[in-house]
Amino acid sequence: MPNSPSSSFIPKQGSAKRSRQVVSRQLHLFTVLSYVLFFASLTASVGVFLYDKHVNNQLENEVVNLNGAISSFSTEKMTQVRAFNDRLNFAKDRIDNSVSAASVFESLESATAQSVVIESLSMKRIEDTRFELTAELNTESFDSTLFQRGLYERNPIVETVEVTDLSIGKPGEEDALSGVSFKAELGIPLDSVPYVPVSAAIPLNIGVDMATTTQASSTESLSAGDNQTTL
Amino acid sequence: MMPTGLLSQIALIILSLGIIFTFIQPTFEGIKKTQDTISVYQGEYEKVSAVNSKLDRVSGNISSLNADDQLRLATYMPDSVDSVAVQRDIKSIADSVGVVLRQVKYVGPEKQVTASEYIDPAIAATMPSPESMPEAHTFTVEFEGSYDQIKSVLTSLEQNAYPLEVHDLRIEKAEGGFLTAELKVVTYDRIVNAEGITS
Repeated sequence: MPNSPSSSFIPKQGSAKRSRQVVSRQLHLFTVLSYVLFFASLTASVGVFLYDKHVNNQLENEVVNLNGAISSFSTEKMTQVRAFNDRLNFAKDRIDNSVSAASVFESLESATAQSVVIESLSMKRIEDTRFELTAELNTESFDSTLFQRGLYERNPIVETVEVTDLSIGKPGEEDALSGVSFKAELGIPLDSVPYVPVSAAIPLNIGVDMATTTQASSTESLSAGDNQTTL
Repeated sequence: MMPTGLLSQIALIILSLGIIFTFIQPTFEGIKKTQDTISVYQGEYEKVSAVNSKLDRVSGNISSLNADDQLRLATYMPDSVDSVAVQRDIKSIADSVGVVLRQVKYVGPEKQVTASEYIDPAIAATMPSPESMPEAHTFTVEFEGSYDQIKSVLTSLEQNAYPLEVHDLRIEKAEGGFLTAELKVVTYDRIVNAEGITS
């Protein structure tokens, strides 16, 4: 028998066999992929589980830390600090708004004409904003009234001046047409008359003998610069 | 010996996907939430720690204050006004100046005026909140003296160790050449409620 290539006893690779081998390789790759995926998911599960444990432990630690910090907070200390803070703020507020009523009088002395007689005087503090001062005054004439109003208007501590209840004559006197009486209403901002504390104690009129004060009161007069006010 | 059959491979893949979607993904989400919670706790811990350390520092500062300064502050703004002591002090001032004290009377604590009660918006705008205001106690004082003596009384009130603010003053002529003065004097204290915290 001639040894034709087709009749060789050595099996030859056919196209069908080659294609079967390709399928086998594809299946092998698929197998690897499936195993890789499976083991990766298992590994990831373990990792995630352990990391979850770790994170939960971390959370527990944070909770313990926070509870420790909260329990170390001293309510008593806080109360003490708040009380001190309030006291300090209140004190500062009052000091910031402290004014000198005496300086109002001193300023008015220099702003009152010699011919003016103050019959009565009232002063009201409107919260921490201003003093409203009302004085009942007597003057000799309308010119004196105008002059007096001008003096008040020019006074640096006086913000508003209003002259009301103007009438001829002094109330309660027999010689009713002897002068002009009126009411002066002055608005004085508190910040224009601040109380200025002094480091050394100011000597008051304490110890002034009664004879001096009685004499001063009996004359009912006080001098202030060129003007003289009678109350 | 690993199964190499197609069905087993598909089963492995399904199993893997099952693990991913039923365990890994939810656990991841849980971890994310836990981490967020940790951040919150850490933030709160830092805040509480900051408050604690600040509290310790401030408390230390207060403790280190001079005792005289603390006493002066407590005198200037006491926890409560002793109305008898205030009346005694006013009497002492009147005696030291030499005026004749006709009357000194404790009226009582003054009602706190809030900004909303003011019609004048300019005043209302300057009003502090009631929480930031001390409680005012009013006394009425009536005395007789000369003009200089009245001024001296006012000066003495201003120089007192605690505030004695003149909120109302009326001066009129009296008999014998003297003047009568009627004053509304206000002093302050902290309002302390049952918990010991200023209201």
